[in-house]
Amino acid sequence: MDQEQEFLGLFPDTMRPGFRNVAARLKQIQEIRLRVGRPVIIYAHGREYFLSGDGEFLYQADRALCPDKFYMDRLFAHLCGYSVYAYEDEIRQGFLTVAGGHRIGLGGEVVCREHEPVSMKNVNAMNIRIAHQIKGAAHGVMPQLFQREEFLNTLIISPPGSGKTTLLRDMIRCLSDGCCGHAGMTVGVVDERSEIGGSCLGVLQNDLGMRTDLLDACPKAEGMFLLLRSMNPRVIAVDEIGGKEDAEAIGQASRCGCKIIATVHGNDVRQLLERKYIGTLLADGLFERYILLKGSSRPGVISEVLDKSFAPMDGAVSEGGSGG
Amino acid sequence: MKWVGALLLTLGTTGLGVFYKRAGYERIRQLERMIWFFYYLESEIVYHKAELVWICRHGGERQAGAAGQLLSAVARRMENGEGAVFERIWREESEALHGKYSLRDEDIADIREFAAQEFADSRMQLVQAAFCREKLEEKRKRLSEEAVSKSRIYVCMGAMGGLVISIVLL
Repeated sequence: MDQEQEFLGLFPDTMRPGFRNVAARLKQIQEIRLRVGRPVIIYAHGREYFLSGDGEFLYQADRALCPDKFYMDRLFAHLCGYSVYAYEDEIRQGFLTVAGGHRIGLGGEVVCREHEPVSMKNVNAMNIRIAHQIKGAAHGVMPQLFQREEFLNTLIISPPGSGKTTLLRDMIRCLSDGCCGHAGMTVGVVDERSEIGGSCLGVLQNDLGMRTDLLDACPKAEGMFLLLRSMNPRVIAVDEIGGKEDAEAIGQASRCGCKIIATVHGNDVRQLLERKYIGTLLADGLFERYILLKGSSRPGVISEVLDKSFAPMDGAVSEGGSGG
Repeated sequence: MKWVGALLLTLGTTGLGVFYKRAGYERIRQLERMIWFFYYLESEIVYHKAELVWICRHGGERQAGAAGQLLSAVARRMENGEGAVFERIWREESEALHGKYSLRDEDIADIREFAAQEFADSRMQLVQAAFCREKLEEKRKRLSEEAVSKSRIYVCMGAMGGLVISIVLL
């Protein structure tokens, strides 16, 4: 099934005419935002458009499609395959991953039990983030991440929406399939929020390479230990590290001889050194390469690559795609 | 010749009685298959959290009869991506069971109720499945208890009816 048909399949039959134009221009679209009683907004090419009832892209909101509660309920049920119970764990965290690897952020009334969110009802907002796997995003930087035949522990640093997950995904694929004259290797991925593999009910929607093992919806620290114990990875990849458990697990994995690729929110290395747990990892010299991205104004573009002593290396700039 | 005719007539009416007897047992068997589906659904929700389309597809592969037809048809239509809501697909495919497999209108109405609730977390879905299952189980139990006596009545009435008509004609 092609990407356009797959995207249209996310919507009930009565809503599809309004989204055919969106499906046809999917490659250019980053986000689709639906809110009860408010115009549907499309973000494409860094600009904002409103969507009309017959699928036209508008600059003004007067003729825009404004979904009502019934529309949102019907759409939500359809997105879950009429099996909301099957997506409970994801809904509890406020998102859904659907076929095609698209992530749908949810807003609505949170149902709590003993002060813990257990579910969501009366969904009144959805943010459909269109998945764009950019194969080749990491080609320019991969040669700098090897020393002799050995892959080096790498940390990707950038603010949100700069393309670090897109870059990480392609790095995993390159390592798994082999690149730059290096043989492919077993990569273990802990995908806590299903962003890297875009797993939908266990089926990977993104290509992570032929030697990649993925733990989906698993907390990072526990996932790393599980991979070390049972999957014998040569490289472990995780997204958005931050806490004490993440830092400890990374240290443990590294001491077991595993190489690490990770991403972290931040603007530069100096800022990260001041952070409590991640700063310790950096100060101890665990990471041997640092990749800094330009920012959300130019997602996927590498600003610089630093070595273990934080000195810049000569390297190619890679053009990526949408933020993440 | 008259006696041969009377014998054939009696056998025919007895056969009619046997037919209704078997239809009664067939109805019970079909209800058991649907009850199995709801048990299967409940276990898949609790242990696997599988989507309805997956459960219907695998359930349809494992069951023959009304349950097999219904589940396979529902799974096929959902996988085709036609975009119809689950309630409509389930209702239409349930209606397609009319006149087949000895199920009555009331049985099909009970089966149709399953899709009445669109939004259901796991607890609500389990309650809905249990509700449908228990209704069918109650019906199956009642029919099983009545089946023995009813089947005797059908066969005897068939035989006696044939005999009476034969006597009248003779």
